[in-house]
Amino acid sequence: MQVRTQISAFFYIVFLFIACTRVPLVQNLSTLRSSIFRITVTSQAPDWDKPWTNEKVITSYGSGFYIGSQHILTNAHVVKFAKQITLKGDRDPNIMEAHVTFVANDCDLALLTVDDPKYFKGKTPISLGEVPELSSKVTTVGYPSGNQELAVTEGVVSRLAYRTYSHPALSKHLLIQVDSAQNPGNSGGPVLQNGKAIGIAFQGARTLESTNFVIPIPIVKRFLRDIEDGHYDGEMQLDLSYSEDLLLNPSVREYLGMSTPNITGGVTIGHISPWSPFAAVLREYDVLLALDSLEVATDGTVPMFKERLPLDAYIDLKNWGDKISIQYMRSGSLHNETLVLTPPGSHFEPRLSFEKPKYVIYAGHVFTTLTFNYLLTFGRKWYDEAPLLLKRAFWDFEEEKDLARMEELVILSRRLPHKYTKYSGVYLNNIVVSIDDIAVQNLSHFNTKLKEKIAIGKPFFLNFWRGEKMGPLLLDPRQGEKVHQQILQEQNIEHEIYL
Amino acid sequence: MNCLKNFKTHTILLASMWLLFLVNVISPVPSALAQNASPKSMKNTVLILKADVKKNLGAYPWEFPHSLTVNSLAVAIDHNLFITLAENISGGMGFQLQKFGSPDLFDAEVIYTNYEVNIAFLQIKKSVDRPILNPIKIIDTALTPLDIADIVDRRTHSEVDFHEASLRSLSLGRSSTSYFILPYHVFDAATLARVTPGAPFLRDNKLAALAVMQKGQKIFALGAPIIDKVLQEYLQGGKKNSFGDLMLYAHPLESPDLRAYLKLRPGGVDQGILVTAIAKKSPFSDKIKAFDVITHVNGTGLNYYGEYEQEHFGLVSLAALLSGYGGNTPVSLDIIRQGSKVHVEAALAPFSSDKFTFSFKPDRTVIDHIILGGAIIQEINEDYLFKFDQNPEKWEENLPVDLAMLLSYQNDPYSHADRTYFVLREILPNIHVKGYERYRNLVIKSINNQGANSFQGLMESLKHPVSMNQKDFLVIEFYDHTFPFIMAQEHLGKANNIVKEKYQINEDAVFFPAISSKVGREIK
Repeated sequence: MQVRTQISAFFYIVFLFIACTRVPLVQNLSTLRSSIFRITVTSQAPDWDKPWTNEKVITSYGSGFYIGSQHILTNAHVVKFAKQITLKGDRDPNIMEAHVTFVANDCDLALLTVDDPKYFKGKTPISLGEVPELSSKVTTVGYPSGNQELAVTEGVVSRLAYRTYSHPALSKHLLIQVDSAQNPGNSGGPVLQNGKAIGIAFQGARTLESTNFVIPIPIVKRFLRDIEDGHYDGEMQLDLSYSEDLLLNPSVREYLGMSTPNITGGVTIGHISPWSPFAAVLREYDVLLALDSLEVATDGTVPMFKERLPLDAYIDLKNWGDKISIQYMRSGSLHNETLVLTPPGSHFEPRLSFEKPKYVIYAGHVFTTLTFNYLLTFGRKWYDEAPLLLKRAFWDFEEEKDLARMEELVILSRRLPHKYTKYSGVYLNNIVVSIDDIAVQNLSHFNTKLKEKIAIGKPFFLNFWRGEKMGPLLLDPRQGEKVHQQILQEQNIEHEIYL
Repeated sequence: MNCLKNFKTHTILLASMWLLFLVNVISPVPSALAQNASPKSMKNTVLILKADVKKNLGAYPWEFPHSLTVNSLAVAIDHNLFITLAENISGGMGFQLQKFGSPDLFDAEVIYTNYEVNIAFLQIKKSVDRPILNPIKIIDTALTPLDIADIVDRRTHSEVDFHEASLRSLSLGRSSTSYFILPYHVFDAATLARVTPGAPFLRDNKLAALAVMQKGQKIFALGAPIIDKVLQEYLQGGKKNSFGDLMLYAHPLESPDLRAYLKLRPGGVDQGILVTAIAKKSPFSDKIKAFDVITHVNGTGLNYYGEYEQEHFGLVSLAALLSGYGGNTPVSLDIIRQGSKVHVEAALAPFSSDKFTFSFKPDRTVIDHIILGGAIIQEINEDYLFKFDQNPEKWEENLPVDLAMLLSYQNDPYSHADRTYFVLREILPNIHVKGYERYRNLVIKSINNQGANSFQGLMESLKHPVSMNQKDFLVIEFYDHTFPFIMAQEHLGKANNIVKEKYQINEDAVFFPAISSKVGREIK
């Protein structure tokens, strides 16, 4: 059920504004406009199907704005896979090269800077504001369609919600819905109110009228706090499921021993991952009643920014290392705990990657890691077209004991055409769980063990998850070594490994 | 990997059994031109079968809203014995036979059905005056490629249609009435646009095949040997011969490196098929190991793909020499194990369709189900899966991942035999299921802490509610960790009554079993 929701959300929120308004306080725009930049990006995405190659080079446009400390704030999707980034200021003929200092792909934010600190001289940093109220006026400023002229549109705040960010597609965060016009090129530009940025324009809904979305400032502030130590640790992972509305049901309340009449809210905890920061405290069947003294209602919401939003949205604003106090009920007894939100150990995460894909090629067999990007190589209907085992492994790896222990899922993704690989087709898109009896942990570990086996020079087996029916794949280094370099040369592959 | 493994694993073995049957029982004869009866005489042999049938299930497991009358054909093979395809009578509530050009309808009844093969026999009810018939025999010589036969079909209500067809090949296919894949005679009939299921192929005034499906100008038909086998089953009291099964997985031995590793002599001297896994319950479990290579079955040699050479038809896919003689039949296997020859013998295990993950109910009987306080719980069977996609070949793609995994991997027929899966299909909203309204298509792991493996087991578990906080509860857990469906026993009866009244559910069709003896009525 959860997977379907994510899929539909992913395709519902669709277009990103890579390419703003009469400001309510018009007097400020003349001051602020020189702090809003057009960003031109030349990028080249990797090819997850052939990980040793890249897609063609493309040029795209976005917007960004100066927030002080030599930093321009924009969207991560504006600068993804960037080979070159240039800035052009409002009514400024100069073009300045920029580079990424921090990127948060999980919440679509990035910070850029330039090498020449004088570039920002005379430019007023745009202050970060607060979460705006519903129906209040906002002004979107940016460079839609990649045009050189600053464009300004005006609208109101329509909604505050917790929805999927289409970059990176699999994460939900707080967002503001506005009806001011936004178009490709607006991405990364500020949405202003009273001379302050209340958010960053980043995506819209293609099928809905005047429905555009803005990343609110609390998300930006979480990102900025995270990088204070010079490293981005990433978004908070809840890694547990809870059931909305079930505590409206008297049977469930009675079963869980919730006879206390003054407790009317709460949600039941369903599955909790061993990697959840709450795993040390909460268990299945617990009832979560409050977070930091905010009462959790039966629909899973807490009061935030004068609205009621899912508790996930509240936790999402926390940084790793923050404390959180929770109140929960177990077997009819109330418990209060305060815990430090500690990042989990290394484990497989079903995510979209924005880094060059890892791969290992041996004797015409291409091994890579299972990512969302790889599933997308099966097309827009990947949720139908991708092999069942890959879909299961990606979404439900925790349920499969052979996979849950792995940090990365190593798949045999391709066989390069050659007589030696001719019989390996049946094993494609299967997950390697072991080499002989050595359990694979990740692609790097796989590569190490592969090399050791090759050095021994005797045939060895690759065993695949759920591969009982087809049996293992035998690789014989005595034959493999003869053809390995030849296949690489034939395919013009310069590097046999990228880890 | 991208095939329907659940089907393939077994069906290939079973199909091979049929192929072997074809080879062993029938001696081929040279081709000759068909010499058939006239259209006039066919009117006393081939009759229109009118079947009033329930087709697919509706929104709920007790509804059959898609009832209709289906016209097909039946062939008289005795003075009151007609043969047709089982799919033509599937879900049938009433049957009539009608002669071409005559308005008279003769009430008929099904007397024997073999859904696995897709053949059924009917007779005209004894209380009815029987029409004059000209029955035909089943041909006793197998057709071989390029043999000519005439297909008899229905042009109009009164006109019989004749087309010439030539046999091209044998091809494996799945019947629409079962999981089993069978060998079909593939005929080429260029002049026939649309074949009626059950249309007979005649040769020398005898029944040579029954048409099943058409792809372009190719018509897939059940051949006479299979028809005759089912007829013999019927004549012998309806006792079906179980299929034989080795209960193992085997895989083609294509890789030369693997063959060298297994110490097979090069140059095709040693050929065979690689054993990759054996079921614990296999009669060969203590005789065969993974990495054994089966080279011969009862002396018949296999190639690297598990095929053997069959006269006229060439290489026939088979793995199944293994199962060629039916359940409980002793077979001998020649094996190469690490370069040494080994000979093993054991009786094949009888194969049962119950071993498949999800049952197949072509008779369209009401699916086992129960409504518990508004939660509709039913057995997962093919009708349920059709909800997601009408084409079974697309199930692996289009079923929810949990169900697709069950279908293709989880419920390995060799290791998870003889169990049934149940699903909470949906909730009929009422005040007692507040919060559960969105629960649907959840595969049930347990009911009241007891595994729900059979309907009887499910019903038994309902008698033992979970005691918690001084009360009794119904607790249904799901495989995907969705929070359990919980309902206090005291609310169950009220909820059932609301559901019956609010959704106007016919109590004759729906079970509301007594759990605390206060509610509903006992299940049949």
